[in-house]
Amino acid sequence: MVEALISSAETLSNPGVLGIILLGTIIGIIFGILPGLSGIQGLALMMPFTFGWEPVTAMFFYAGIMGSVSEGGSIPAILINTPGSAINAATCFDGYPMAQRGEAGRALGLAAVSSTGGALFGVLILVLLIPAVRPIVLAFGSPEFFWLVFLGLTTIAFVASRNFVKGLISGGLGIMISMIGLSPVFTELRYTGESKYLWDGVEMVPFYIGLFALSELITYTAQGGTIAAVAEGLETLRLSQVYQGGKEVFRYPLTFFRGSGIGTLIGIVPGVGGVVANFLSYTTAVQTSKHPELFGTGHPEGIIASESANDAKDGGSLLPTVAFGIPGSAEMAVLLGAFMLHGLVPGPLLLRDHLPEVMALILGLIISNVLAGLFLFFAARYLAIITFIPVYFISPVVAVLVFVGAFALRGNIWDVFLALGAGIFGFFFRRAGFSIVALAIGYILGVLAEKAFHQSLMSSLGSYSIFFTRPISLVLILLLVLLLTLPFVRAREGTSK
Amino acid sequence: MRRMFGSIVGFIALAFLIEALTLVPNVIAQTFPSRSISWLIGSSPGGGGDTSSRRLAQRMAKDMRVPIVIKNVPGGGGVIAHTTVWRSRPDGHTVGMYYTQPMITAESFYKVEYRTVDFEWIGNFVDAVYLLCVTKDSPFKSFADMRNSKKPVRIAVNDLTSNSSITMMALSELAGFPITFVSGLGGAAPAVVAALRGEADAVIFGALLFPFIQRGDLIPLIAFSDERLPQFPAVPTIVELGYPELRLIGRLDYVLFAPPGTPRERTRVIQDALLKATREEDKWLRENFFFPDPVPGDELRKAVVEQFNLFKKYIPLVEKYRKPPGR
Repeated sequence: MVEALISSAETLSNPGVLGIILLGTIIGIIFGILPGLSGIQGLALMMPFTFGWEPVTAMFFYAGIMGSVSEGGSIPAILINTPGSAINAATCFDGYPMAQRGEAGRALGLAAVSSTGGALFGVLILVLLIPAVRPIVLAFGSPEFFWLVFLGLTTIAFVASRNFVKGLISGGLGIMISMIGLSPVFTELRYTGESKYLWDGVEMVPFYIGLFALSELITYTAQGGTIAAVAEGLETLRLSQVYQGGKEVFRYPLTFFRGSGIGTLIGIVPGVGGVVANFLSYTTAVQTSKHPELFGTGHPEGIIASESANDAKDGGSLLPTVAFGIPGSAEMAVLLGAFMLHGLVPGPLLLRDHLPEVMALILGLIISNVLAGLFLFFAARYLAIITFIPVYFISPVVAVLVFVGAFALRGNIWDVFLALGAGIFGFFFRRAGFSIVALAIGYILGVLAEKAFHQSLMSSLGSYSIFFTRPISLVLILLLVLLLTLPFVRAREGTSK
Repeated sequence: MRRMFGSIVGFIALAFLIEALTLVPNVIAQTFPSRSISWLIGSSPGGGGDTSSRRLAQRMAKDMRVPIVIKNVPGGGGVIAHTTVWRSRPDGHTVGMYYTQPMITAESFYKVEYRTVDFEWIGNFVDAVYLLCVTKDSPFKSFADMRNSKKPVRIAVNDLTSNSSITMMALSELAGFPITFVSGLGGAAPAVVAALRGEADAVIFGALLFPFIQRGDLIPLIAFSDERLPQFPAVPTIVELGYPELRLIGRLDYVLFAPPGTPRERTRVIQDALLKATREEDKWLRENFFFPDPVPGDELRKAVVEQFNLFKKYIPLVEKYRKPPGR
């Protein structure tokens, strides 16, 4: 596999190939920056334009998009407390407070190096594990999937640490919202009334854009002023600040490698997704840190944990995709459709019959992440200017992007109304002390947990022992117990000292 | 004299009128299509139906000398797209493409505006061939083993209202063996992996199973077709096993239809272009695991009605499986 990768690297000597990757990277960054839009929409919208392209060229283009979306998404997460997509949500926790201190450049530098490093880690593991992918993918069944998603759901408790009860209510409400629509397992319509619009559930992109981008927009417009509240103002914008942020990643190697490892592992398990990777990595970093109280105040480890994980998952999620034709993430599901468009039949013979195309994907991912990281690094100090512009100039632009983004998805005006409704709801929800992040986690993971739960019971013919008798499930249960009890153990140790 | 003159003028005018009226269909035919044709697909870009539609539409556009614009209208399992076609003006410039079975099941289970059999059926271009497969480690070596099973046989499927699920429910009733479903898997590949992990005993899907069979992961037990497949000559058909009506499961996989009331002479123009394009793309379709089966509109309508009646007969069985096992 490594030899195949090296020999495929010769194609990069063609400037056209690099140009196609660059084009994909630029498109990916744009989709990443636009709140609510992600690689899914980028790939789906660009796919029809690639009809008729050579498959290898198309794969370079898709990899360009996929590899840069996450890095693009860290930009609004840091600058305006609005994740570009769900997988950047945890970056807000420390990225935005850092920007408010006038250190947006430092935060973006941290994000650039963590993301690029995490992505390269994930691709390296991908290349090394491809020969052994089968037993790894087969080891994670529905019960393991359930416990992994449940682990992701427990991050609700930590995300809403200021008010545990309100956090649980927020998460529970998110789970309830995720149940609206056609049940994935029993195909019954739930809570839709007579509405065809709700048939497929509450549509994620407009809901998400409204909940995060629009509610945040209302908040900072109401507050006025600028996002960064520092007397020095624009004087703090220097490349040295960005460089300092980038260098800081190397001061926290454990956090970086743990985050990258979590991201890669979560990516390998089909269907779990970057959201779980993002939050699990962040939560683990908080729980294992000697200074957990620093997280959420603009601590560099928070950004490193989040961004390394959500980029590492790309490499991991390619594994089940190319080995079995099972999408490792939502983007991979769209990619599988793209395979078919170009005559590549997804499945176990893809690696055997279309190795050049798979290599193009891997190489494209590497180049795209490096290009996106460089863009983020050198553009950071200019992007950080946004935090010093009065919010009355930013708000209309963001509002237009929100509504255009909501409508562009399906051309359905009800998506715009949904975004508006979610935005107003999100604003008052936050004001009442509830957590929209916990709600978002519940919304994204709720139906996944339900599906895995029922599928486990179906395969065990109704026996609940399936959840407690498999080795990997037991390891995950142990991790869950550790994650939940560690804060209490630490608190007791602190008291006794 | 005046009267005779009037009669002659009247006769000539009538002759011109009759001549003009006979020319009208030709005029209509010559002016159709007069603008681009919208081809609606009820799913997102990239699936098998989308890919083959784009391929065929390219050829058809050259023949018909107008652009054919593919529009993906996902949502509600195709219901939004089908409702859009149902409501569209019946002038031949809007058509829909989908599989007939989800159109039928949506109409049967949920409140939808359209009636499947009342669309104007233009033509079918691809059939699916469904296979019931087990893994190589499975205790079931033949359908007879499965039929003799005392424990429920776990079948991996997309969802409980899919054509494959309903067909298995029917087979279970007719052959008298217990089954249960592992559902919501989201496609052939996840279903196969579920079977390889031991979470399901069998999978039933179309040509997307072929790579897994070629690799040796799966062994086909039944082919839901009229005749044995050339790729798997040793696999008995559902007809040979004594359940011929169940061969309809995969028929009419990709069909083209128009709003009710679309003039037949217009749908015939599209039909002819579609069938020609299907024959010309035969090689590409087969290379990509599609089974080209060009069927014209009149014959298609009869097949749709037959399939509709079959599913209606067995759809009530779905309620039996709509609860978790053990409850």
